[in-house]
Amino acid sequence: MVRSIYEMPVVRDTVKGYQRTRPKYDSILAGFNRTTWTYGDEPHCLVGVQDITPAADSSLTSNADVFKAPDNLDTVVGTVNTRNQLRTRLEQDEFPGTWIQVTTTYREIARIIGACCQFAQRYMSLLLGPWFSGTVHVSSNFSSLTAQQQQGFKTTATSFGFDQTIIQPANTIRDILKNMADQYIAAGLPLDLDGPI
Amino acid sequence: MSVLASDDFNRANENPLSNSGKWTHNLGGTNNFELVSNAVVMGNDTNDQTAWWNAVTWPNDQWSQCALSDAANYSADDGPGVAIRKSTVTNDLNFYRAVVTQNNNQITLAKMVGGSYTQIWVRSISFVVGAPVYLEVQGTSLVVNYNGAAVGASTTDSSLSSGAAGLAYSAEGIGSTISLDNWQGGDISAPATPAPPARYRATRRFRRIKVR
Repeated sequence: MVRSIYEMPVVRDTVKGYQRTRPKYDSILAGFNRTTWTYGDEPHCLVGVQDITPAADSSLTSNADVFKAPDNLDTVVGTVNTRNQLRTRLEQDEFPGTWIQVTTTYREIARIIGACCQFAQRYMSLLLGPWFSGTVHVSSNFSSLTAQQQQGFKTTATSFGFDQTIIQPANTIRDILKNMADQYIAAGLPLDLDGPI
Repeated sequence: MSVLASDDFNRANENPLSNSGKWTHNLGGTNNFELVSNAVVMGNDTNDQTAWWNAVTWPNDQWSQCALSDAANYSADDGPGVAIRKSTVTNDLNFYRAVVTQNNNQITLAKMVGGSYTQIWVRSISFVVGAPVYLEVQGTSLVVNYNGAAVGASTTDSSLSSGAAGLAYSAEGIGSTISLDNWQGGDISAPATPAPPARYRATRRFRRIKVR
């Protein structure tokens, strides 16, 4: 089996009185075994799909807001141009991206994004609502978040047992999220998206 | 892995399902799990429901299992199943659930976090009358078994860290029917292994209900 990983927006609607969150292109994915990692309450997700057909893959990747990782996740980014495109793309979607180098593998990128998703999921269970709106972006200082959101970050870090030295007002949300993701990975916590990444 | 709670549902009819108050229904109203002829049915296919066993203190790492004899006429995402890490606050919509769709031969793993629903995955099975569906969580790893076999690989989700185990129902809204039996819930003190099948005695308990 081949597992393909896509990063794409989510859409939200109301079903049976609940807010439902699903991948934007879920209709293309219907019929394939797939797993979704939400990015907390942010409007993006990671989707792992088993044995997607070339036609469905093309339907997905023809959309500018879908990014597909190479099936061989151990492929390195390779060029400065690709590195810059990845940095820009991830930061547009409010994931930490500036850390990526030409020698970085897509597995390393997928693991950092996945760990950010796990951190954001735990945060969402404590405090609903997105971090990023208006002028607050991943590049903003942590102090741009509300006091309640800042406390939510700390409570989330505590729930995972993470060191919180980096969580300071003058640090960027990007640097804090990247650090949280690094700690998630260093702790050996699982990252299974239709198989480990 | 050990069993902390179980209910074979072999007793007089109950509406709602109670077992002397050991079951708590999350949402009030008419769509309660009911006990009819020694099996659990859904009284009204209008709204989703969960019910958790309140007679034990649930560890964070837990599992829930129930035999299903009837899960017909549901679309993907809907049907009966089991819940874990269900918030023990009534009307609080936080839980993981695995529900079975008989006619589509599918299991859906989903989460409800603060009332926001997300399908984590949908995977294929071959529905067998009376086979158990099993859902466990250990740390941030979710595992689903059906009929004693793993349904795909484990999945990571970090949303919910505590709660109770019990039953789940995702309504179709067209009068669909279910029949559940032999529920068990427990803790995980050793590496995850599939629970032993609690096979269903279909000839005695298979039953449909009229939707009111």
